[in-house]
Amino acid sequence: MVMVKSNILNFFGGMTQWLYQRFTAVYMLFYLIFISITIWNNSPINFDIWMNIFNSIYIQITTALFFLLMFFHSWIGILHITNDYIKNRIIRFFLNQLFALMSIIQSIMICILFAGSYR
Amino acid sequence: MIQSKKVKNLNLFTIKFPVPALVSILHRMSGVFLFLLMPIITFSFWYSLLSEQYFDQVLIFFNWWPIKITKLVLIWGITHHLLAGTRHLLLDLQLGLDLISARFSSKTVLSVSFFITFLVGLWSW
Repeated sequence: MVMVKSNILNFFGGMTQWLYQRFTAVYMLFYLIFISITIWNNSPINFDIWMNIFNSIYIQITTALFFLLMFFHSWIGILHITNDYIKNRIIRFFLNQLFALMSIIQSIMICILFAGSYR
Repeated sequence: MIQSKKVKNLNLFTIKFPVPALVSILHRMSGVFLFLLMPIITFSFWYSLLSEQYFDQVLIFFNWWPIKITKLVLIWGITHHLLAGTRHLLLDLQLGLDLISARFSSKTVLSVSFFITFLVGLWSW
């Protein structure tokens, strides 16, 4: 019996993973260039300047988005790597869960950090 | 059962990687490295924005010598991953697909990432 899986509305298939990886990569590339220039322009960094940079709402939104997309990008990458090199299915499953948990905890940290500044 | 008589040579010490393959495997390895160090980055970023005291603690932590060396490897990983990823995006756009330009771009990626790491090391030491 041949199972035909629809490609429509499959948000985590191989093709969409490939696309996610590219789009997040482009966003992170531009963000890293932008934030490097910002930090370079305020070059001797101390705490006040550091807080001032991250007080701007645009920087907060782009930074939070950067971190979330970074966790997503790295999680897809690590899924592919464990899929390639770890043959034991049970170990692979638990490693993937562990890595997902790590990413989720860090996402929550970033969300709390930037949501907390509006209280 | 028919036994395959193919000659297999998968000994990593005798396989000679072509330069684009080297860039590709280093892209993967730097990705894993960055993934494993990501909690440190996230946590120190979060910690540094809490208060001035914590910010100073993060600075002291990042000026400790083992962390300084790790930081250099991290900078190498980030630049290599970025440049190799950009090269990959350009390959997806069908730019630089022939052998000569692929070799040239991979050598460029390798040398530029080491050069940037060297510059950052000079600047931050």
